[in-house]
Amino acid sequence: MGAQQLLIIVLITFIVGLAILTGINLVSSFNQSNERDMILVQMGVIVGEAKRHYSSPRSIGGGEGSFVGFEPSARLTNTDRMRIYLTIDNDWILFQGFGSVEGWDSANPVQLVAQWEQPLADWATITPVN
Amino acid sequence: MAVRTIEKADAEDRRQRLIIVSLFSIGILVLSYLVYDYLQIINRVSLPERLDAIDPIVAQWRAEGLVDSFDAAQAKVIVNEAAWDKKDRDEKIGIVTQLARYCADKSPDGKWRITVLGKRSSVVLGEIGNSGLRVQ
Repeated sequence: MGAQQLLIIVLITFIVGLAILTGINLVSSFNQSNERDMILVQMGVIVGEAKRHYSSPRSIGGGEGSFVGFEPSARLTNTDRMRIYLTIDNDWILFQGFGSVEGWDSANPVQLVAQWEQPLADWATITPVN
Repeated sequence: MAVRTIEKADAEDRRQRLIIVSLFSIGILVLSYLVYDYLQIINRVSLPERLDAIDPIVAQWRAEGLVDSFDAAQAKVIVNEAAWDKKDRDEKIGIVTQLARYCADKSPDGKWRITVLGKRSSVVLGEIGNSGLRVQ
């Protein structure tokens, strides 16, 4: 076997190794991205519940133009795939969501921070932290 | 016995060189991607979910020169502006949010709040307060 053919075999082995590493990275990146999307969807579900509280009159336990007093049920904020923590004021809700797969730092779970602003009726911030 | 002409041998040699150069280029490209990916990961702020892991992280930020002082009771953190400016917006939002949740855990009312002040300028660089999350 010639030296060139030997070099081709070595290079192919090297590239296959790199391709496997890249593939693992891509799958991991896809999982992270998927998890962040799931967290955002769950936050959207909680916002839906919060808006119901916001528009309900105080006489039936609502906020009557305020998110204050809204407490989401644990089944919405704590699932086997994610944990969502939130703080609330009159017209905004700040969410911090953690997933179950490791994020960019390869040490802690993926993390997403988002803030819902009722005057905008939209997300003011959606930040993938990890 | 097979006979190879000089022209055929030269053509084969050129073909193999082309394969080697192509494989080498692909290898360099893939390796560059992996190095780029690695560089994106390192130096990122590590933010644990568990609040009892925050104290060591704050101590680490102090050692790195990012945090000058942190008062959980007052929900106030004083940072070095130069080190703060090196962090991207997402990392700043992560730090502010995590410290606010930590302070809420320590405070009786459980409300998330934090003010990030510059050490030299005393300017508010980030906060979670009455108007929600703000970071500059």
